[in-house]
Amino acid sequence: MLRPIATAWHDRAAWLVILMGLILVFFPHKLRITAMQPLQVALLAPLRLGTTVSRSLRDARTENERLSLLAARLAVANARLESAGQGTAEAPPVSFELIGAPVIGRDVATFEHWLIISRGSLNGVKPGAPVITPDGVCGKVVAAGPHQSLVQTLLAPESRIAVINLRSRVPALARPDRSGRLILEYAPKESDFKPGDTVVTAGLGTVFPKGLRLGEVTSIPDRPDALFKPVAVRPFADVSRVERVFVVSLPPGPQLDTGSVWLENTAAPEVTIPDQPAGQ
Amino acid sequence: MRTFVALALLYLVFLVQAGANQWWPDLVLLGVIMVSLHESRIASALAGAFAGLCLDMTNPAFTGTHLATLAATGYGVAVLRTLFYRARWATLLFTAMALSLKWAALALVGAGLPGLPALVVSSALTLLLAPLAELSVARLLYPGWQTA
Repeated sequence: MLRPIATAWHDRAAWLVILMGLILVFFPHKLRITAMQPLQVALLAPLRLGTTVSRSLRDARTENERLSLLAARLAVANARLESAGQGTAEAPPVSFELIGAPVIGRDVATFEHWLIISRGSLNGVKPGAPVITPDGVCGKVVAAGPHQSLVQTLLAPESRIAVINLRSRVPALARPDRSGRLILEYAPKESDFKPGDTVVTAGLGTVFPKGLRLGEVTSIPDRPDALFKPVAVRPFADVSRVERVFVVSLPPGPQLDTGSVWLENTAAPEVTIPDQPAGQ
Repeated sequence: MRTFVALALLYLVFLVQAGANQWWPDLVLLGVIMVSLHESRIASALAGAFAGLCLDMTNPAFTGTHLATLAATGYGVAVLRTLFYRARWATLLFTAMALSLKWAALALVGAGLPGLPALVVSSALTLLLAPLAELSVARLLYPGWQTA
């Protein structure tokens, strides 16, 4: 049998609380709004704070993307201006478009030979397009699906990039070694390379336009028996940690098509890779 | 101390609920019921009143509606739970009754109910979540306690 309720003090107190709620319902509208305002501010403060922080983070992320894109554009423009200033030939004007692309996958063995980016042919990415970061050259697209592309980084064993010393204008061919550095091949023994020199792309191929920053000369090992001068270069772009890259969408033009292709491996034939379903 | 932790938990649930849309289950109502299954009558009524006050703050034009409804729910559950000895289905019954009370009160004061599909989905989800909520709240706040 149910015990009699509303007899003990706590039952009366509970009824009082419910009654207070009912009284509040019948309060004048204006009075209710005015009286509850401070309480509303206090109780909803965490929500407001959360919304503000969330909005700030979203704004910061958008701004970060915009600035990254701007930095990449400026890096390319700066490298080309430096190259034009120190070279003998005038740099041809190049109009290009940068396609920002998050890195969504890596090769599982080294994390730095191959990248998968979440932009594909539907976004304007084509096989053979250079891939850069704000720091410098990162690699090139070797296959493009509708929504994703495969990028061969400059540290992949198959990678070969025609480069030039920005200061002395000595050309060479950059290939990766096994320690995450680049080694310049075919640099003549008497050529002028010094530690600290900046190495940029030479534009001798169909992939990389002239003047993109690649790396810095770190050491020149002394090998008297070698036919060419071995030059070690540290890449500016840290491909093992890069999270976002930019694909350079270059229009077909004389600055790329007329270059010699003997120094640089050409773009891989177009390969269509299946697109992953959304959300994977 | 445990009651204060329960109030803090209700406030957290309210913050989650306030950011959700009308299709979501009524987490605050579930929280009040689960706390009331273990607390005293006055503590249950106060927990319901606190949760109701928080909900009222999202729409001050109808202040008091949620407060009275959830305080009544808390108190009612605390009183009625003594009628059912370890009956798990009692939680579902309490939840259904509390939902009916809440929707009726909101309709009565003209606070505006969500559309029928949202109302049905939200209520169904609330009922579905009730056993899970009972289990998790009991383990989190009241280990070793038994309902009823």
